[in-house]
Amino acid sequence: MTSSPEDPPLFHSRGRYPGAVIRNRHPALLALRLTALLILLCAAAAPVLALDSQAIFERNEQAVYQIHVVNRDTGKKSSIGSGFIFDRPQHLATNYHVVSQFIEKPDRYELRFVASDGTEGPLRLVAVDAVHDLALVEADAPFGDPLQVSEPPPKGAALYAMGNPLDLGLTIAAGTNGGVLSQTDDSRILFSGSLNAGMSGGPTFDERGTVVGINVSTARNDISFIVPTRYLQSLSVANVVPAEDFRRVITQQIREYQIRYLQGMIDGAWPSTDLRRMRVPGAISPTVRCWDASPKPKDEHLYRRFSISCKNENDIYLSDTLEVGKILYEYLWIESDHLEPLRFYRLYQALNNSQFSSKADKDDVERFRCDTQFVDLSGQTFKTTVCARGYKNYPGLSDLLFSAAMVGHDRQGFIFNLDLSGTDFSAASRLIVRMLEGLQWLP
Amino acid sequence: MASLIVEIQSRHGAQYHRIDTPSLRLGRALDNDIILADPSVSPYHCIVHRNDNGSYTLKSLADENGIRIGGRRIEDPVTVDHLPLVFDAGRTRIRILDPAHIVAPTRMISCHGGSVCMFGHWGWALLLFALLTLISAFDNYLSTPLTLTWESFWRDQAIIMMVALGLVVSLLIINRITSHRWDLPSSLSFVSLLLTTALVLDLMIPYADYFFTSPLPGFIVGLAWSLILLPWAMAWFLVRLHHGNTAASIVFVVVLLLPAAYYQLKEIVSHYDLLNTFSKRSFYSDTLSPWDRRLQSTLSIDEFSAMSMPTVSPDTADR
Repeated sequence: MTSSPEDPPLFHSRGRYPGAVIRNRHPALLALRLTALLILLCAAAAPVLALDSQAIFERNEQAVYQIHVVNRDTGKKSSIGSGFIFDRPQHLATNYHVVSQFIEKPDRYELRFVASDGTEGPLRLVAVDAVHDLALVEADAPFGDPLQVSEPPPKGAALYAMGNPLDLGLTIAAGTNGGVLSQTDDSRILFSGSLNAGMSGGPTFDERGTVVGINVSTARNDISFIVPTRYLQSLSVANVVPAEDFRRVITQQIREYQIRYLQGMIDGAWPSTDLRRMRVPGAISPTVRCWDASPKPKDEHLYRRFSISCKNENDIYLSDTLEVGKILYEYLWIESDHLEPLRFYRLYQALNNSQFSSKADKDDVERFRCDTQFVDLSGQTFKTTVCARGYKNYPGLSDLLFSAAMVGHDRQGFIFNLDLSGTDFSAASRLIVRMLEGLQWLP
Repeated sequence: MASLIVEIQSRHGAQYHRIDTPSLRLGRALDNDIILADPSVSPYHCIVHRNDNGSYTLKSLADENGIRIGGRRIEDPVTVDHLPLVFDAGRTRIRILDPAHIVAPTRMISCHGGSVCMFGHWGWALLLFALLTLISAFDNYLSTPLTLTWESFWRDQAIIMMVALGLVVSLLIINRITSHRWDLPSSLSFVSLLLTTALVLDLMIPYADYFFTSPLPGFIVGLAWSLILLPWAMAWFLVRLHHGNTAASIVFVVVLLLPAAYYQLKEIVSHYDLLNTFSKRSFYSDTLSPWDRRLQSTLSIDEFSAMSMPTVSPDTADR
């Protein structure tokens, strides 16, 4: 909403809640109106304490560091991120993905910090939370006073992200709080400022200059994401392990999260949606968004094809090639009045070709093992295939591909595909069964 | 005076000369006893002389490319006691034979009313070609789920026809090289039969895949086709219909099909994890059939979750 010229000038200034102006011209409510105005004036006075980006930058310049992942053989940085003093004077908080290269290959890489004045030194990894993309690193000598942290301000409030984008030097980016995103399982705040590579792990401040989040990722121009500080506060520093063992810790974290996340879906009530003659589960979790994915019909088509595609938005970065916790499912309906069964099935079979999409290669995962069976679902026979492969470096995590195609109808076909990446196999199996039970044939 | 036979080998087959004089001169000049057309041969290249004691002496007259016996160049005259005397004059191989030299047994032309003969007849060639046209049109029809227009139909049909034509021309070229004939009916029959077989297999395999609920039948047939059936058929075609040399035909076919065979072998290696190769693809039976005929029974959802899921679990896999 834009303010009109008749708004009091007060609310043009740094008033935090211009939308809260009560415009009531009834004389009987004048007292109430004055009181409201007074409260608003107080509210408007509060931000006098608010700092601008320059002040926030100057105040925190010494507390934000660059974190380098350095190749031991060449002594040169392989990737960069940012970090800030948190909790203890010698601790820096950053993102898991900033240090993940080091966790993958601790014998090839080492972690180092670089201060804004150019001083640098080695870092040790002391804690990770791969699910929320957080890590803590420790230096030998103290950096300074830890930064104050707090809960994020209300939606719409100004936020300032600090970091070192593309190794161009420490900068600050202003934007607003777009709110905590339910589709990310509350693990991300939407930020309207520009985050760029290298700023990951840097602090996000509110107007008071306290840290409310950690810069984590960007989707496109000015659609950026921040991790709320509450996950940082629950990072346990106690379990100091050698770098090699962090992979085991990460596996455990992701697996526990996946079991809890999938079990939440299995136990939840699902909205259902009808796709021609099949009733199917809709968005099975608040983290899942469904879209129509039907191809554009053309006059010469002798068939009609509809599809719905759903996927979650809270996948977890594990490494360059592994995005885990991805859930992707699609329903496809095809029917025809004109095609002979032989011709119809040629087309139908060509659509039944689900393959798992991922960047994982032979260093990351085993080969898929598949099993194909015919299963009765809601009175219809389905040709179902389940394929799974384990993760080589994170035993206990696996990718699953499930596909079910209805058979037994001459001119009607229905395909259900489901992909889960980096998940717990048995929890995923239960989810598949629950989803299959959710399919209902509409006579 | 005993005569001798001079065999001059060339790509077009050998030429034979019967010589009754004790001495003979070979070369490119027109006043030689035997005139050689090969430009690598000198005008006066060599002399073969029959000695009184029955031996033969070969003497080189050429400075340029000279005479080679068994690949080794000879400068001084060579005398041999027995025939045949084999040598290379430039690039031409020459054998001096005894008239009593035993020739190889006659090769029977196998196409005398046998089944192979049909390939050479226009009737069969056209019939097989018509069959190919029919089956490819049917396949084309099945795989086009659109309103068919003649234009779109013939556009797709033209592709297979062009492939067939290309193969016929290739075979004609092989035919011409090996036998100096343009044998169109046999080439047309062979190509039609080959492509028809491939199309029929392609039509049938999905049903086998569905029936056994396994991608293996298609995989095995595909493999057998490109590694065994196709090379065998091509070698057979060259030997039986074009009277090619067996070894040369096999070598030719192997060289021709090697890239395809290599690709196929790579596929097996990848599908069966031989040599620990990795495939991003999941290999499963994805065929669907309008006739739901199969060996596997239908499971209930409980049976599925108890039986099918655990078989692929990576947590229980041998690591």
